[in-house]
Amino acid sequence: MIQLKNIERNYKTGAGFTWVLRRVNLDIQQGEFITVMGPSGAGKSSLLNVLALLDDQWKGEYWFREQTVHDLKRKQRSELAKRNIGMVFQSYHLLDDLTVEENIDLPLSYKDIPRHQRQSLVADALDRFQIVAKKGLYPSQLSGGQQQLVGIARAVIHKPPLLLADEPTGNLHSGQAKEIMELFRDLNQQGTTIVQVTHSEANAAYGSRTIQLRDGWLVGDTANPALTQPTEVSAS
Amino acid sequence: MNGLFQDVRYALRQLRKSPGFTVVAVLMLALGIGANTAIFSMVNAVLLRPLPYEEADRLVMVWEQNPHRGWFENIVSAENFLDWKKQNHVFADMAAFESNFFNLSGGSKPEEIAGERVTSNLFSVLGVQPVRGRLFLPEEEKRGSAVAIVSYGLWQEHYGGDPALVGKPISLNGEAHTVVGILPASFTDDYSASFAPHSRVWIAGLNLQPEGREWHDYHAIARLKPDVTLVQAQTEMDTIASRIEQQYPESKGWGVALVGLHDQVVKYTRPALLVLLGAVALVLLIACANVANLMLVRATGREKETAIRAALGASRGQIIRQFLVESTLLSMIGAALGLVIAGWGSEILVRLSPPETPRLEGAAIDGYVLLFTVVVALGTGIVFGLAPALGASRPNVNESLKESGRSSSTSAKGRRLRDALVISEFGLALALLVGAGLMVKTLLHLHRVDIGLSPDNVLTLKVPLEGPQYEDQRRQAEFFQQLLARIEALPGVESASVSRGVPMYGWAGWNFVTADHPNPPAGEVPDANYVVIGPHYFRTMGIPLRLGRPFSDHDTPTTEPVVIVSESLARKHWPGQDPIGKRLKVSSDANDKGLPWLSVVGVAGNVRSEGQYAPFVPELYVPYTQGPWLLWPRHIMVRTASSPTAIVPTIRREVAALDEDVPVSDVSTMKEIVAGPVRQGQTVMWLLGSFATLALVLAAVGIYSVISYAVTQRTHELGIRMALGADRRTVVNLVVKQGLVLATVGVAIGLAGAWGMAHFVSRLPFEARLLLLFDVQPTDPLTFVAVPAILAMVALLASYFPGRRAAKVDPIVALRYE
Ligand SMILES: Nc1ncnc2c1ncn2[C@@H]1O[C@H](COP(=O)(O)OP(=O)(O)OP(=O)(O)O)[C@@H](O)[C@H]1O
Ligand SMILES: [Mg+2]
Repeated sequence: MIQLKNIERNYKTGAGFTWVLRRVNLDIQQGEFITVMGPSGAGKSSLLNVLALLDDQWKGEYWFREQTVHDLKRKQRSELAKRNIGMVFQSYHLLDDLTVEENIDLPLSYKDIPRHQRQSLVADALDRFQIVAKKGLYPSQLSGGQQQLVGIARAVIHKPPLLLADEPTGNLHSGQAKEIMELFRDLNQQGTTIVQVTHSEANAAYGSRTIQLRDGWLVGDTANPALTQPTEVSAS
Repeated sequence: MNGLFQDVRYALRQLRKSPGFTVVAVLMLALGIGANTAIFSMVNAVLLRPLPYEEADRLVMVWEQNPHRGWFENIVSAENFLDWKKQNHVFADMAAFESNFFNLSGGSKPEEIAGERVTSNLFSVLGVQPVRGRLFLPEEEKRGSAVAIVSYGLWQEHYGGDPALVGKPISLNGEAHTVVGILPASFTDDYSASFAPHSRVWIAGLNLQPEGREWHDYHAIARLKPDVTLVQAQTEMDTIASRIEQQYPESKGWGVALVGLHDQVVKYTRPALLVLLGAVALVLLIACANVANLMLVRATGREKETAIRAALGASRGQIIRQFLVESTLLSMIGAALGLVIAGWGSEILVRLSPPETPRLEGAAIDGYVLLFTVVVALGTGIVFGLAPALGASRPNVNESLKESGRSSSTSAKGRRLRDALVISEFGLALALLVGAGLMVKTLLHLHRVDIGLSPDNVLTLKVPLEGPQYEDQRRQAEFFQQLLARIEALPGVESASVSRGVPMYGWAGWNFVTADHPNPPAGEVPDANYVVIGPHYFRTMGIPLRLGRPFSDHDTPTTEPVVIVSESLARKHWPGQDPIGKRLKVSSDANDKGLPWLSVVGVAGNVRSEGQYAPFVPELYVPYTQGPWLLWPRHIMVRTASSPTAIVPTIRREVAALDEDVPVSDVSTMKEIVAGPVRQGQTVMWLLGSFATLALVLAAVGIYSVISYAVTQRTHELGIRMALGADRRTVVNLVVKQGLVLATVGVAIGLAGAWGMAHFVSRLPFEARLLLLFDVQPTDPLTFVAVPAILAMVALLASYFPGRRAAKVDPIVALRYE
């Protein structure tokens, strides 16, 4: 489904650059449930932003199915993301001034979907995530777990084939985390490809494959045991 | 007090700390306060400053009026004046005068000056003392006493301030008059402001004698007794007038109208000044709203500071005071800069003002204006400082002290307040723009009004013939005949004519009777504008001749006396009949043997001779070649092929060649004369337009700053939206929509206000509306559509720029720092 080749990303800092992704090569198959792990600052979120097409200042090659993302213009990229990708965030990122229902509807509002169809999609999602009773409430009136439920409902409302989640349970206690992970597993079983970032081995256990990042380097991949230390020789 | 000093010091440090905010706020306040100060300096000079007469509030103009015939503030008849003076118990004294022009000879070139023949008590009624010499003596009342008092200006300019002028003779209309006094410099401006022409000389000898109550010839002025009010005086004069009306049939319909002298002087200027004062007040309000907005934004940025102060024990009052000190300081700095702006502003205003604006000479920044500015600045500081101060004085200490506390409840309140401010700015700007728009529309409308003549390329000038050698009308006719022949022979001249009276210069009404109705009831004698003209008058003025023939040089004293009437006169007096050959006599008495019956030989097109806005006045034209006339012709009109002003020197030479003692004065083009009545309105229109534009700019700045601030506040939200698929255009639209919503609400409220205002103005009397250049439907659709459209465009632009900035939000960054 996705192929990354030699993805590099750096930030300008004062005098020089900080490298946050270094020649990352990664194949993601349709239907996989991948967990990205690594210490803080390793580049996990950065990698997710690249995958999500939120970032477009990386170098390298990125195929999304047949599309060569690296050749696409910004507009085409966001068009691609809009159709194919859902995002779940650690701090939920719900809009305070919108109700649960309106928050869930948000991604649909940016697509050309007729109003009645949107309404039925939202109703379905409320139903599926069992938050119908909460639809008129504002995020501040929900618990963290409930907010993240809404966040996930919002991320999958438009049925994206790829779901990206950056520490979705980071702000939740273990009980709530378990619930979310089970939900992910269900979604994955229904065909959604998932890439999640987590620090929790327990969460990782739900996934089918785990990759390790360290200082921007991809240093481990359960699907590719051959991958060890990067070949530092050709670098710098 | 010590605390206040500390507050000021702290406030200064705060202002220094954010120079951008300080500069923008001070500039806006300076513009607002400056505009107010400038306009107020005019209001002060024209409306508030007392007239420079002793107890000036006791002075009143005494007019006659005949409301049935639409005559208000009419000059008075000698007999009525004498009766009033004898019978009243309300006036300490009454004086009369007659406006005149005098040819002043004996200088380097002949000059025509405005002056008055007065009753000897005029100056004592006014309470004026001469700087040199003395006032008139009662015995100088009789005709032929040949004594004059001159203005300070005439003394300086014409006689070089000759210290020995008093006692010397000067030549007025060829007759020697002895100068007995010189008036103070301060007198002239206000006096001439009170009574149209700029009088420079006064001569005694207005010895009022009974001459028939139907002759209204004199101005009257009176001084109220100390304890008598204007209303009491009016009541008594009404009684006296109705007694006279019953006693004398020719006084039927005539009453008395008293007008306070100050009111009389300023009444045509007051509405304009008040409108402008209102306009600048609105501009200042908008500036206040803007600064309040900036302060609110700053106050949210300083919530933590306020919370710490509160936590350390500052009372609510102390926190409010700190904020108010800061805002007042700002407005004071703004006011200081505003005074500089006002200094230039009032100079520009004086220069822009139409020359007939009264009492402008004293317009300057004096003590009163300064006081006004200080009060306005203090008020302004409190108005725009109060909202942020009150908001900040109730900090949520808990929330604010928490790390990066983003207390959404207070920020929502702040946002509502900021929104309300922007909404009111748009409402106010709209009201101003609609006002200016309606004036522009009126002016365009007036330009399209057919005034019945074509003013392009027509020059008018005054050539008054005075003195013993012109007593005989035939001598005058000869002079004009020669002059017109010379002028018409000049290259570039198409035609020329003499006339008595220039359209729009006012009314020389005269009674007449027709042969068909020789005995109209007293008080209902018809009247018409009496115009003495030359044969080429109609051609020169571009007035069409509807019927019959123009005058020719063959109309002489020995041929049949003839007259040309205007269409409206013909239609009124001979409806459905051929007016040619009808006869009329310019007198209220058909049996008057001294005056001939005149035969109508032509009918001329109607002319709006009292201005574009006024109804047609019936006119009757008589040929100057056929004396005797009741009024002497004085004007020369010349139609030229191109710009008419170029030939003025040549015409002066031609006049001098015929008689070097005849002055040429009042040179102007017919175009200027036609524009005259709307000149003040035009000035007001330009000023109102400028203020409205200023208001619009300020409102644009307001919406820009509010939306910009909102964008920074919404960065996180916009980041989420973009991460969820909102593209850049959607984000721009989102931001612009926020601006448009505010503008739309403001415009809607403003429209309601403007509509109400326009309806109010549309119910004012006609004259007042014209002064305000307001003669359109109060709901003029074009204005009421165009102005909101302009405002919407401005709001769109002002929010587009922050919107574009919002679209550059990087979702990664926006989401990272949450
Ligand atoms: N906008 C930015 N500007 C500069 N440096 C950045 C920026 N965003 C990320 N970085 C740096 O890139 C590196 C990787 O950051 P990233 O957020 O991807 O780490 P992470 O693996 O997600 O860490 P964590 O587990 O703490 O979330 C870090 O060193 C971070 O400081
Ligand atoms: Mg991270």
